[in-house]
Amino acid sequence: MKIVFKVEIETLFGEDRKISPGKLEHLAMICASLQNSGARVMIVSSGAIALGTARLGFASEPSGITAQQAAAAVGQVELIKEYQKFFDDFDQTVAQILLTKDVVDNPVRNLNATNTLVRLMDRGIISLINENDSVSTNDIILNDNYPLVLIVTSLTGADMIVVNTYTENNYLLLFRNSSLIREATAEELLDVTEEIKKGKLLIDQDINGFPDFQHFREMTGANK
Amino acid sequence: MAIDRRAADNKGIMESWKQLVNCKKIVVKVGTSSLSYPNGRLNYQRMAKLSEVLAGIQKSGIKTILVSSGAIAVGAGRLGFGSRPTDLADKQALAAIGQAELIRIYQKFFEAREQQVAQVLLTKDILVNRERRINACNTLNELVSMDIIPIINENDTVATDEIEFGDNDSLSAHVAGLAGAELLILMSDIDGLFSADPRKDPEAQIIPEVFEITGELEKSATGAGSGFGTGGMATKIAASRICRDAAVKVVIANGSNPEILRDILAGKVSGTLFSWRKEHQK
Repeated sequence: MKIVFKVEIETLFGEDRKISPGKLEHLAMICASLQNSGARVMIVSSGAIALGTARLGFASEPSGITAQQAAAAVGQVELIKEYQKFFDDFDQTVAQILLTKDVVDNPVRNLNATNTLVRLMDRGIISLINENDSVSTNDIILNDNYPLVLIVTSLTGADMIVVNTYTENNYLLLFRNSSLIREATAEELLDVTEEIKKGKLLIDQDINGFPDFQHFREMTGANK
Repeated sequence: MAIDRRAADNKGIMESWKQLVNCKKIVVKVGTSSLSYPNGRLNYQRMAKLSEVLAGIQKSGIKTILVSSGAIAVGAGRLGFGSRPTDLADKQALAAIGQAELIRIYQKFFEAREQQVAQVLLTKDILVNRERRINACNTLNELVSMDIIPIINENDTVATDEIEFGDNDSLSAHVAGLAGAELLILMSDIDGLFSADPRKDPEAQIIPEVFEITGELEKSATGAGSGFGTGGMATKIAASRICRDAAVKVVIANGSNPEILRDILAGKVSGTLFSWRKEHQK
């Protein structure tokens, strides 16, 4: 059971636009617990530019691409450090993976990235994945990690994508690629993985080619 | 032999080194062997010292870029590997774990000196892919102009050739060219470039200044390296050739005491300088 978590800024930050220790601890606890159950978790996390912006003392996120790349290079360090700190409490080792979109088309890159992610999973390590903003521009413009989530899912053959919603119930949306499986609370997540493992929860496994990014965005309400 | 002529040129050599006091932007490359003990575990004291010296250099007004290896060694330590793994997927996995740890430790040491750092992971396609090169160049320049020290490593997760062939020497040379640095300092586990392998030949002498990369020079630089590092003199010569094309001077010095960086920038003879001095070139 391979699960990709799409972690958005709201999952990490409090109202004060700073890392919320409570939220991050909760996320680390859920992920470490899933790992202990035998599932394998990968995290695609936003937050590098926001953390870099704060660290550099800017009032708001810079609008220029070069300044955003610089903020990302500073903030990525901070982001990984925060994750590492909270995962250490649950005795969970993490690794950093920075990808560019050419992992899709470049066969050597594709193979390398897949091998690294799979080997990390085999060794019980959680990969923290982000776009390598220093050398790529496209996704900063999109300002959204959806393509990356789908790339990682495709590379690793992940069984499920978990996306947080920010409704009052704070539901998690569980996807099999671009098909919504169901909504669940964090507490129900483990039950769902058990159901999938036992084949009780039938999901559409018929995926031709690359998952539909636009459809996925629409279903998770990311088209703001 | 050419080395004898250089010995007679002491004054010229000292003059070449003295010119390094004018450097405004430098790239410093440290290898795994400079950062870790022979068992592969990190030498925190060395890293703390290096961070202190680099922060001091930056404060003095010289823009500094650090290219640091060590991620695989850190990952191996963290997972309890006894030696450098040979399996490629393992190396990449350890690099992904170790890079996170390595950069966190650097940040901690630099923060103590109130110096901001950033992480930049590059692959060799910055050489051939124009968009990548421009982006990497813009990011580096922006960080440098913001008084941030970029800490650069290869993005081992998606690249293989770098892990397999020889350390970060050539990457650091390309970075120096990309960033428009005047000087690349390669921190090694030996004092500089020798006229022969100093471990085998007691007559081996350090070469204080190199004007041009000759066949003779390349022959003397046969591969050296410890268990956890993969770089030897051959990769340093190759890096120097890249720098020559970009008109970047290169110093090879012993990285066991990072204070040597201050000596180099004070113009003291501290290893081997590739000065590309014109009057000695054919």
